Amino acid sequence: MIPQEQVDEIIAFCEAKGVTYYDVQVELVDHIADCIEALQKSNSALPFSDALDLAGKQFGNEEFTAIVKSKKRLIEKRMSRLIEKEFLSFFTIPRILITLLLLGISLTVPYLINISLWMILFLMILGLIIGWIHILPYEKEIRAIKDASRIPILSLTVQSRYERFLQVMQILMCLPNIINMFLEHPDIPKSHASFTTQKLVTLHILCTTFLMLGLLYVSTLYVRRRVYNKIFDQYTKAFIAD
Amino acid sequence: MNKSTLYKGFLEPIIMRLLQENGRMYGYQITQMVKEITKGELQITEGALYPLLHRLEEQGIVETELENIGNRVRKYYSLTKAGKKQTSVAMQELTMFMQSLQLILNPKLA
Repeated sequence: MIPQEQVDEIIAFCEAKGVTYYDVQVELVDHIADCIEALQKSNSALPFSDALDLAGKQFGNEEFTAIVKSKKRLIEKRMSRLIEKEFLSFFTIPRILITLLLLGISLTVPYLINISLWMILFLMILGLIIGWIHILPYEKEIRAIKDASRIPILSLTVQSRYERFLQVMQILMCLPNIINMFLEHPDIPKSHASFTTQKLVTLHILCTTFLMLGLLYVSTLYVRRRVYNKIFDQYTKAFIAD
Repeated sequence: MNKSTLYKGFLEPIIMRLLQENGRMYGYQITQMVKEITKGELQITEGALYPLLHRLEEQGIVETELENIGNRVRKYYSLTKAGKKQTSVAMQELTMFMQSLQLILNPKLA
């Protein structure tokens, strides 16, 4: 078995060939190491640098590019499938029912009881704070995994791309609601305690946006946590410092 | 005709067959075993092997597991349940193809 310094040299060789991601280079490093061990077994006087040169030549630049290309395609597809699967697994029937219940409550309460807009805003902020307290440990867990990676990992890059996509989606989902808030709404006969139609529309929009954003944020967090942990379990060596 | 061109189309069933026989294998082991069995007649290049293994993984024919081997990580490939079924079908097709080839090349023997 070749020593760690030589494994590091193989890694440097792969990086020089443009293979910087750990999950892409892992099997190439092992293959080259196996090849070097076999060469040195048949010729014990062969220096490591010459053996590395010979093993590297077996690949050739075009072969290296073909392997890296197919590996990247595989990782991207596998990650997309995993993220999709985890995202869908978040939306269980109880979670959907709770969201609908919360939405129903937030939309009907102003009709049923005499409650001020400030009180509703206060309840929303309180909900945000309670939610944040619950979410914080998970955010810390994800950050710890992200910070612990000492080599770039393609799977993490794909995951980050999806996170950015979801963030843009969140903003796009909110835009129509925000625009709607500034539009004039004709008065309807009052059937509620203390709100004008304009205020009521604003309130409905605020509640829906608040719940939608919250749901998307929590689902994204759920997916991130599951995916980060899976990547950590699979590529542990890329996270543990020497 | 170049021998490697002839073998190229059979690379996929060859790898599937090896995995069926040996349970799980890693890249370098596959190249060496093919070389050994064919007495050096067929040498699989890394540039042909790995993209093929990646494609088989993408199609769900093979699955992988990473294992720590001393100071480095080794990636083992093995057939999935679907991959095992597909290998049996591929072997039947290959046998039929070889019989047809035999009919064309040497009708008397066939």
